[in-house]
Amino acid sequence: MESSGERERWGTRLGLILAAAGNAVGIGNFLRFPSKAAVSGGGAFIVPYVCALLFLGIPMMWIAWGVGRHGGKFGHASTPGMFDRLWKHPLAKYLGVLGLAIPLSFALYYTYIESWMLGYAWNSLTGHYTNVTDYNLYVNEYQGIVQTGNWFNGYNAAVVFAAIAFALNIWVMWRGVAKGIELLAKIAMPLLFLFAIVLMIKTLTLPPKEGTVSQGLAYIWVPDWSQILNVGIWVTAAGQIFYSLSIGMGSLECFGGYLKENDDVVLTGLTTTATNELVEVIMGGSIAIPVTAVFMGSEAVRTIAEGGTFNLGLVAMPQVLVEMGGVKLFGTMWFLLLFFAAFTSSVAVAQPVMAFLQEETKYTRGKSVLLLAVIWGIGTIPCIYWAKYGFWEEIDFWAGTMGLIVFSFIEVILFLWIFGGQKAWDEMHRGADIRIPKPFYFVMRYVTPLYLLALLVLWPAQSLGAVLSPAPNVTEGVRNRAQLKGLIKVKGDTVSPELKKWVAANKSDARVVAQLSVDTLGNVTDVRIQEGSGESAKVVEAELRKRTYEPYREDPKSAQAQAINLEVAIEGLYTSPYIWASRGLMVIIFAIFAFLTYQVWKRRGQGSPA
Amino acid sequence: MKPPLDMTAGAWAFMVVAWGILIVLTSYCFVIILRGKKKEGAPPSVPTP
Repeated sequence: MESSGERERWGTRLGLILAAAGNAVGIGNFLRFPSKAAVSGGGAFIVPYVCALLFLGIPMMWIAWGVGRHGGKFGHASTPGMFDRLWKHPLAKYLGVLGLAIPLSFALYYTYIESWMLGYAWNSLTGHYTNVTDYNLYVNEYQGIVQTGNWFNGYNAAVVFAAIAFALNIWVMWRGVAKGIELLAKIAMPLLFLFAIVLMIKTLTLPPKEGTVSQGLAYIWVPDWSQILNVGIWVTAAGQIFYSLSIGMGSLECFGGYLKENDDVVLTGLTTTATNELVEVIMGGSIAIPVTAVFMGSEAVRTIAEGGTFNLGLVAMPQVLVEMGGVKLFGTMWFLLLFFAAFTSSVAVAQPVMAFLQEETKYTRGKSVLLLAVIWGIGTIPCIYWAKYGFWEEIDFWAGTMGLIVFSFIEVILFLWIFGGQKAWDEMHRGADIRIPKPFYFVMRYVTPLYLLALLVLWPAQSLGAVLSPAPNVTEGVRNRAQLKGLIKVKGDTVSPELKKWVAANKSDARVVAQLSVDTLGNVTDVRIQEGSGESAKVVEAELRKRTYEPYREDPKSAQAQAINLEVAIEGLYTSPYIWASRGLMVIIFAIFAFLTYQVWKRRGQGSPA
Repeated sequence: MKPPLDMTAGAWAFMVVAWGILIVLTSYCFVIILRGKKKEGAPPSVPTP
């Protein structure tokens, strides 16, 4: 248990800025922001977004850098030690453990999401999805959520790319701060900018087709003022700022911990924020939504955006890229851009754990990387295999959403109130290249904590009920989809409600595969159960018999429909045990680091040099 | 049928102003950093033993 004895430092200031911007710039900038803006009042969304930036984002950014550099003075680059220096109370270091448990929990599923981008970049390069007619089923098959075998075999693709992404992350962690994270940022960030600029120019110069570029931009910039008093969009905007700037993760503090005592944090924090916002608002707002409007029409944009971040990125965008032409070039660029954005973020959120293991427990870099890899690897496996049970979405809610607000609230109280307002202000300004405008003192001390407190109440009020009582999930896919050339859409009832009731009552999964005969009007004329038996099969069969499809046409523009046979695989999933396993995993991660923290401070209390 | 949403003159102006602010702010930050204006303390990046 020996450390190298030398603290890690940043190589250059520009490298630090790029690494910090890489931490902040993620998938959310290119997908989450435009889809949230499009469904939350467009230009009217920008108002709460700017308020959240001014009263939450920028202040929290300065606070995080300030707390980090202050802790770094005492040799801490992780929040247990940093918080212990702010508040001499036994509890402080355990509050700081949140700054390890939250980013590590986040990294478990974020690396998996990152691997989708890598997988899709490869699939773009090989033209794998060029002839796909159901992109929703394609992504579900890729992730193993629906196992119908049209384009992918089980979890194979998901696992291979997750393993590559994981290995790349571990390699960067092993190389350290300057030779790993910073070097990655110096390569990945310029490439990200280059790809984004090329895609932006390509998008903004597209001629009208189903819609126009300006119709797409309108979803971001034309204000729907009727939404401005909707509390929901204020909460959504604040969430976007948090998610986008990587606040409340412990990673910015960690980055600050590697600075020297008199290094600037004010300009560094502002530059990180400005770069992130430039990428998010200018580049993020000018690619996915406008290009979708051009190729799928203005009306389709709302539906796609309402489907969420990944609906826009992994369902609509591949389709749009195929329509646009040049999938191998522009598709690869788009998904590599998203991969780089995610990669620079995932290594940043893993660094607090590395810092803790190296600096507090005094493990060697090799041992620290090994321990990190074991926890990270073990935690990522269920994120892959239990995705259809909502495993990682549960972590996303508690660690990736609620956790950020809770951690930020604790941090602002510790720094601005317990450590002291004036002391904190002076601390942030030590060695500063620019002065923070005076009104921000008032904002940081009063407005930011109150804003966070309001979010702590309002955010869970939106979704806590559904989260606390997990409902069964149902997945469905057509097994012979690859042979059918047109779209097949169900009209009217689906089997979900009845099957969900059955799953909830029996507390078990159900898998049924049925062959359907569908006539030229789209009516189901016959149902034969191929796999599955008992009550669940009867429930599925009864519901399928009531179903109607849109009449199938091989060429969507042709009026001629035809009778077809479909093989439909339906799974009813009892999610509750997996949701509890997910919660248990987060508790275990917290407990591991709380225990290690206890051990470290106990040794210190006994006078050991630990 | 409702006509598709499209950019108005006000929306274009809004977008141009927002883009302008972000470009100016980011450039300002990078210019100060690259010029290395303040160099009272030690340079930030020398590894320390």
